[in-house]
Amino acid sequence: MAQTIRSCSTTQIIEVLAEQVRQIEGTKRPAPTVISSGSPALDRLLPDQGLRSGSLVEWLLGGAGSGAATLALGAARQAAGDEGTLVVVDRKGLFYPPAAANLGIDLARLIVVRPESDEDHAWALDQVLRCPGVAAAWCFPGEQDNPTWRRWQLAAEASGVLGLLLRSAGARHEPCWAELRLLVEPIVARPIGPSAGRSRRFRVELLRSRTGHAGGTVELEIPGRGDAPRQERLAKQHMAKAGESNDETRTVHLASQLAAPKTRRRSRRA
Amino acid sequence: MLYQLHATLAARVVGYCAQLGTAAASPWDDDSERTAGIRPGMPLAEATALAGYTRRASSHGPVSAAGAAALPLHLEMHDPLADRLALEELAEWCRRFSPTVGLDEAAGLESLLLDVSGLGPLFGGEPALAQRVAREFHERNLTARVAIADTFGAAWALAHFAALNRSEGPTKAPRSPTSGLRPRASSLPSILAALRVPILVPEGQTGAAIAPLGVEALRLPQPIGALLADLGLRRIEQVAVLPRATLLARFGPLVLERLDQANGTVAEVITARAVEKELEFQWLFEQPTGRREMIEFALGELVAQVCDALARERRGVLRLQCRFEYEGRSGGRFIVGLYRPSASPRHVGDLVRLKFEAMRFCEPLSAIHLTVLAVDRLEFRQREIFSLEQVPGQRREAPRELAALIDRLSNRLGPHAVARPWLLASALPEFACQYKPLASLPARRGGKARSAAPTRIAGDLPLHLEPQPRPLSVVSIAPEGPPVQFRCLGRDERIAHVWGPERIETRWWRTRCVRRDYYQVETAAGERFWLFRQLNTGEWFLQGEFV
Repeated sequence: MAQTIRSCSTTQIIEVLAEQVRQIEGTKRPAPTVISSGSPALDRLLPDQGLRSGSLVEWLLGGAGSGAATLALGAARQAAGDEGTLVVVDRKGLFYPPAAANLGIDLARLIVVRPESDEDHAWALDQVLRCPGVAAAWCFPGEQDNPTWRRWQLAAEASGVLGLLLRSAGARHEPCWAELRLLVEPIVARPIGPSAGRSRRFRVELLRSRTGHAGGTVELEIPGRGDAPRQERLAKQHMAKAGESNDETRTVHLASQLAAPKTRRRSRRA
Repeated sequence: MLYQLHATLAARVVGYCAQLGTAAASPWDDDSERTAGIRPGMPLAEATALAGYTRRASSHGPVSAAGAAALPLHLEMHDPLADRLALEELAEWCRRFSPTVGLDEAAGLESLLLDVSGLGPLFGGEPALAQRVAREFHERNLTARVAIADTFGAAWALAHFAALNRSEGPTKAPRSPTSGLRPRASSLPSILAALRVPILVPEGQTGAAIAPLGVEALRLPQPIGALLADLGLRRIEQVAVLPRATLLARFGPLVLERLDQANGTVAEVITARAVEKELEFQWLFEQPTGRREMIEFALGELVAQVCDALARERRGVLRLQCRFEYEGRSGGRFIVGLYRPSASPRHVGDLVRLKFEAMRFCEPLSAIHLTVLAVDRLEFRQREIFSLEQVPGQRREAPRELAALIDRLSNRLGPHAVARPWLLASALPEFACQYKPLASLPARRGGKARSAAPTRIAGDLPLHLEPQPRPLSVVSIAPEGPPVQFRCLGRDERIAHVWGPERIETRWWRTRCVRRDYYQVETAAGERFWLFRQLNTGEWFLQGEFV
């Protein structure tokens, strides 16, 4: 092996060494599984057609009420499945469980950790990402140094926990330790008729991927309460807008995946 | 000979059960002036309303809803596990009176059973023993009703249903049937003092002592008790004179069994609680040391000894106390709590180290003591050779690994920082959820975690909710119309879409009457927020973000 390395260029040496590191680390890691993000359109945008267990995924918020956390929680629900446990590390004490319950999260399998200091916050997330008994971790990690990010990355890889980390859009130019970095920006609801529905629309851009090409975008929509008829109408309008392969723009509805479908009122059915 | 304690909290206790929403018992139920008409089993809403009504009536004038909240009505969530733990602790403490102490498991876990056969002379006679028990309970701020009789059934019946005796010294026999705990008009101290008077039944007079008591003193199920009452059989003496064959044919074997147990014809034993061996290990340093690595090594050795001793008995530690000693004085201590029992030196050692890291010593240590405060049976599960479970968090080992995580987090961050959310049926968003610390409740064996109820609240809700609504400067076209622009944190946000209003009003008997109009708004940038206008004042607040 030493002879082989000597005869290679620097780039090739680095690739060979990286492969060796992957092989050494790979023996200790659980085999990754691909988990749906909760949206078929978003899955198609991702290199592995979903999120890999044992990885970190950064969701960048394009604004305070952008909806990135909602999308990430939908992915966490998919990761938890019927039996898994979801852990929310809530440093600021803002997380509101009733909203999570409305998104289909089973609160009996939800653990909320509320550290009181930044140091405890980093430690708690590290512990959660290190625990194989957890299916997914959902957190606003805030500003952290590179060793901390690397520690979290290794912890998730070792345990197989899916780490869903929410950061502000200002972090898009910072080094990325996550497998995927997604930017979520809200799109203003279209006023149709006298009262617009409560459905929410987002544009999700894949900014970075460790295993594939980045740069694609997709538009998603989450229906609001009692918006089902409007959803169908919007779906017909926008499904025709298929973009290019690397920058596709589609509108896909997540009624069955991300939001609790609400049955229509009996009076409206006729 | 048996005697029994009926421990009753010496406070005005009005609680409610999380599942049933009913008011809990208090010993002076009929004292309407004191209880405002609140009775056991009453729905919480009704009890709270009665308390508020009484407050209004007594104030001779209009009182605001906030004023009604000032009534000293103490509401507490019913916690059966905490009740049991407290009673078990009392049972351990009662070993000073008798080596055989048991819990009354059948009748609602409110009684302690002690076998005092032959123990009277050790305390100067049974009356002195009974008085000492009552006095020492009183010193613990508990009112215990003590009864000594030939049988457990008779002692239980007398402790629960014998009439109160206002004279000093132990009474020799009950005075009247049933409602003995319900004096009509008495002051609280006199009621408590009467409850503390022990009941002593002379040997061989048990039958006569319980004869005037009501049939409910026989610990019969409610349907049988109701059937007896329908037939006009209200006192034990009325039932006891009936032919046994008739009783058996009409009411089944239980009535006869209870009668015989109370009279001593059929034996009834106390299931004594097993004596917990106090497990304590200590490490004495040859020379006092302040080197942390040495102290850590000693802690590791002690933990290994504790785990080894418990693992041999297939038990695991639930609570552990670590006490440090300087030369001749205490150097501090900490307690480690576990979510599931464990006898793993590595896991328990990690938790001890987590706590130890926060300890600071001002002088060298001379000794370390490790005491096991609570243990439980270990749960064993056979490992699988071929496991196909690949998904993280869904494997068979997941509960054990989760328990270890909860232990670590709870011991470093505090038990209240690691919790499970629980939805409440409240229209007010900030009261629609509460957190239950996971570490405070031991993991239940087998079965899955139960879902919280209610499981869903109607409507679109924001994932981020401000603990305290943030005041906003809002522009709206109509005085009570929807907002068109708001200013928050120095930034003006133009509103592109508004959904609402959704009116939320709290019930008048809550702490405060709250009336709000909620709006879900979308800014020109597409961000969603949850605003409300306080209808009483017209002020606007930001309560949540749809992050």
